[in-house]
Amino acid sequence: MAERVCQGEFSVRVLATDGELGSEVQRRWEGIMVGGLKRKHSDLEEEEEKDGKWDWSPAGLRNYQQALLRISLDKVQQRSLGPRAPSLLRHVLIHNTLQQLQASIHMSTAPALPPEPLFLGEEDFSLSATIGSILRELETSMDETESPQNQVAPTGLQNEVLPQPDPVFLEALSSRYLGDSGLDDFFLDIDTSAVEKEPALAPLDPPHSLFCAPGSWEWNELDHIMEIILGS
Amino acid sequence: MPCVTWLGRDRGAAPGPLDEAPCSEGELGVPGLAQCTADIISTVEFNHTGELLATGDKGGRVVIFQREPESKNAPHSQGEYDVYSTFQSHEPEFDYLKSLEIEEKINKIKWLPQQNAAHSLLSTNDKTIKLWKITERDKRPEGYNLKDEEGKLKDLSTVTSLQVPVLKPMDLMVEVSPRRIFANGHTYHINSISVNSDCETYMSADDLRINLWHLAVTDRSFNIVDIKPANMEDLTEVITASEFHPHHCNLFVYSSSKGSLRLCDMRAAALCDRHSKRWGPRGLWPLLLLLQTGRQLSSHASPELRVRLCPPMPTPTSPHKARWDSGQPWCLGVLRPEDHGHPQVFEEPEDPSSRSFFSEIISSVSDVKFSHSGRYMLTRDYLTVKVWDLNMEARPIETYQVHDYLRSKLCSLYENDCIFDKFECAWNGSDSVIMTGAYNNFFRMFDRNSKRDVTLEASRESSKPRAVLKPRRVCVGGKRRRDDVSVDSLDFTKKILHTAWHPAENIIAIAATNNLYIFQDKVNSDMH
Repeated sequence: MAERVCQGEFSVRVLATDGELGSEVQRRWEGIMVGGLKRKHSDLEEEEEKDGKWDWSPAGLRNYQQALLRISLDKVQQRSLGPRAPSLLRHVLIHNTLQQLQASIHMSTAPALPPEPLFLGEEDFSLSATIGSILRELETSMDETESPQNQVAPTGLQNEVLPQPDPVFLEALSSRYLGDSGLDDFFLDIDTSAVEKEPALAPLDPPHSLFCAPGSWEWNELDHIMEIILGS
Repeated sequence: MPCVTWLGRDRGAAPGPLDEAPCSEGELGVPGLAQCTADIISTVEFNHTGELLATGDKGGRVVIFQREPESKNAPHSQGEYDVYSTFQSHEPEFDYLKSLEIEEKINKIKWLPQQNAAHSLLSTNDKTIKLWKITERDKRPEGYNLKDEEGKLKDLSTVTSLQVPVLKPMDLMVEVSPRRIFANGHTYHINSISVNSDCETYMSADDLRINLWHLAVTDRSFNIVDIKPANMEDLTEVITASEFHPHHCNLFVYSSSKGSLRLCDMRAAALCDRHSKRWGPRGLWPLLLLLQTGRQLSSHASPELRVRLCPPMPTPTSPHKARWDSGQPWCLGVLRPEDHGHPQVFEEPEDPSSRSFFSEIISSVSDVKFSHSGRYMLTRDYLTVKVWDLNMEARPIETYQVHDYLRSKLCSLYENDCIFDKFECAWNGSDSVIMTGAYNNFFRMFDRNSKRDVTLEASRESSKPRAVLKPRRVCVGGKRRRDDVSVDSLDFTKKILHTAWHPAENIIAIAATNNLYIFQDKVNSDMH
């Protein structure tokens, strides 16, 4: 992998194999940032101007990993901007990359030393805690429920739903959602640990899908139908 | 393909909404004005004869081009494509419950095989699929008895005799009307649709599920693939593309973000948990057909029915998808991997020497297409296109490098999100050449027989009348020829994600941001 790291800072520089074109590459990349998002790591640009050598020492590798980590975390945070649902594909790929980074950082940590917490910005996070929080956020975003949205729904309404489902409300839900994920998203805010995500274990028995009507299907009807089919 | 010389057409870019909108470029060289983005072409598709070419854009519009019949008077002017119809397919929506916008961008268009004088196509955005009917009107009745030519009612006292209205020719009018709207079928974003060879059903795939629809029925669909894990924290893989086999109505394939393909057979037998009955070799297929057509079932059956046919991908916590609880009256059964008919998995083992943090991202399959013969599949991942033989799951039979010079730049491409670009791929009519897009408005073609490849550019210069497309080259340092483009000067905002090849002839449609280019070979001959 023809990539290199500048020592001592969070900077990444990607080179072609001959190494000469590096600085041009980095400048070019900024110029073509898709969507015009300003890069946060202006320090990357400065660093790679200074350094001119390859560095694959353990410290260099660590810096590279940290840089990738920062880029990945930025991406995870970016997705909450904008009114559109995040791309699940992109999210899963970034998440898997973060998992790999975490694994490699653990492996590359010298066993003699206690693992140091990595500094990410101003706050002090341990990597596991960071990834853990990302996964939790990922869960809510993949289920396409914005956390502000959950908070907006007044608790009074939630209490109302549990004992006595409001048919209009549920109809509004089911008209927007298909299957299990709809109501489960809603219940996420109430108690996700105890309640299974599959609709079978939801405390209510609502019409949670446009495509099924529990209770209206008789198994002996099904047998009858199968006899018709198998008989034909 | 070395035998083919590609020409620009007289109208390389279509008029109207597909004209390059004047955008003032910001300092970063990125178009900054909002009105530019609505014209970005998001899908391109020829119909089954190649007479019509449909494009969808980010603004939810569909533009259909029609090939003009060749004129004997101007033999050099081979049938060109002109705008045939334009309509607004999808509008932006707002999901109030989730406080999210639903984009109107057309993700995919698929034509239905033509069965009468009208043409039909399916168009889809992230959530809703629509069936459109396109009809022509070229005659109108004249000579009404009660109305005059302007449509006003006549004074009856002036009517002394009756006449039969006659049909008179008029200027061609193309009418487009929405015939079906298939809504509320998907929680996640739809990435592909595919019409079955039975011409009655089609499937739609989102990130986690695939549904089977009947073209005549909008209020129900059958879920045939579900890879959503019980715990979303365990999600590591999503569906990226899917397609029905061109001839076998029971077979379809779907690709994943981990680079694997699954070929599924819908005829597989299923177990009904409640009664532990095996439904026999014909499986669920006859039941589906009955339900689709079956008024006779309405007295017996609930109108809603949910059927699982294919096992989802094993998750870390449940190697087999949990069986449906028998208390679920609306589920007929689940297919377990040990039942015959579990999907064949096509996956290439990873090369440990080229492993990097980005290995998984670049292995994600962005498009999968069956060959016209039905014998092969074509997949596109970030750096390569691969040809798979349906009879061999272990590895692709051919791999072509699209832009391997980007392999050393993956970190930057990850940072600026280009690594997530989803390129499509296409077969030519005889399955001998494959095509895919790249950056800098380049697109690539690979001849499977001669193993030669070419890089071409879709640009204003190349689309001048009868201008011959010149092969381009990207140099990665070392010797640089005069017209070579250096890797560092590639423009990554100019990406060709969507390409299409005429089903029978050497005519290609290339979507370059908000421009459509149509190229044709020099000699207007059939496939060779």
